[in-house]
Amino acid sequence: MPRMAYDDAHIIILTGKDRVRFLDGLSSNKIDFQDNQVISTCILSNKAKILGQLHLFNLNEMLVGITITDDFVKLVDYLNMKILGQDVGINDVTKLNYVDLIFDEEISNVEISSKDGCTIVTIEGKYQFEMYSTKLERRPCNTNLEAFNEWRIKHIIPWYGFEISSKKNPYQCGLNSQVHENKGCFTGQEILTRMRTRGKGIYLLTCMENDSLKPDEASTHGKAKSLVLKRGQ
Amino acid sequence: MDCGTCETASPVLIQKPEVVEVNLTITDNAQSMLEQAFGDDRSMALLVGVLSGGCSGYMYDLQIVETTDIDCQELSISGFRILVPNSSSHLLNGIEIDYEDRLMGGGFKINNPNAKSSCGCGESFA
Repeated sequence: MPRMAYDDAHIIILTGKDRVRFLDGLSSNKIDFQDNQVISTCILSNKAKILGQLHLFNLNEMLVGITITDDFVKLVDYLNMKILGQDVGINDVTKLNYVDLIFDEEISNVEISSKDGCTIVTIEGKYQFEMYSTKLERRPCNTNLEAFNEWRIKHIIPWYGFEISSKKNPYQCGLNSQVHENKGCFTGQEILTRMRTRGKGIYLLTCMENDSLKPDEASTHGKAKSLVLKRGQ
Repeated sequence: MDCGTCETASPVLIQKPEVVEVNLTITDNAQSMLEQAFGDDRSMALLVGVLSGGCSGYMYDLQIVETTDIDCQELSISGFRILVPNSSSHLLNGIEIDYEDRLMGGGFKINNPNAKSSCGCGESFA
């Protein structure tokens, strides 16, 4: 299967009895774990801009977050600032692990598994993060960002640095599925709810033939097709 | 994966906020409501806290308690015991506790000079 080193990811671990409730109040998706489940969510500013995207799963008594952000220090400072006496601890274990991205047409539906010292986390049944200790030998990678982007275009998956940025909210970059509409208050919720109810400012991520593109319209350029964020209704 | 529990993984430094000696005021309306809530029993206290979350990042948390395990400052205002957690004292210094008597959206309100913005319902602030 295509494997790409993904060194842009950080791994944080949240500990303490308040860890789930703490993160639920600060993120756009509902953090309500069923067994062996991965929850993808966004940490938002109070203006609903994306501070970071987290893929969360439980590991023993810890909450692990594969964290994708353009400013990790800012994100951690933000989370730190919100700990007001709750029982929450944050550890950064990025340097202890390699992270690889696996993407293929056929990916296991098991959301969390482990094999040969690797923790394998499947996102929405489409792609996987493999995390393993830096004490192990790095596994050979056989593909690159260009191939990953071609695959993303085919599967219409938004990505940090292309569609997703800290200047946008989830509805502006195709992350609608990571906003829970009925979970109640979370930081940035008021703005997102207003956008949704008024139907304004929401963008849809679509795949288009390059021949039909306007200049600078694509967020991810492919060889024949590209991803485009189009303003919705 | 290596979660760092087998060896020492450096924890992210938790920046404990500065503890501020809190001053707060309670409006006459709010005092009337507290009198109704407490009755003659002044052994109970009003805990005024802040939790992370809410539309704007922080949200108020009012509770009537007898005691608490939270590290708090205790104030006495017009005979009422008010507890303010030290961990959120920097966000609550100078607040006014008010009560709005309305059919919709009424209840205790916090007017907070530290808040740059508040959400529509008034329960959270930034």
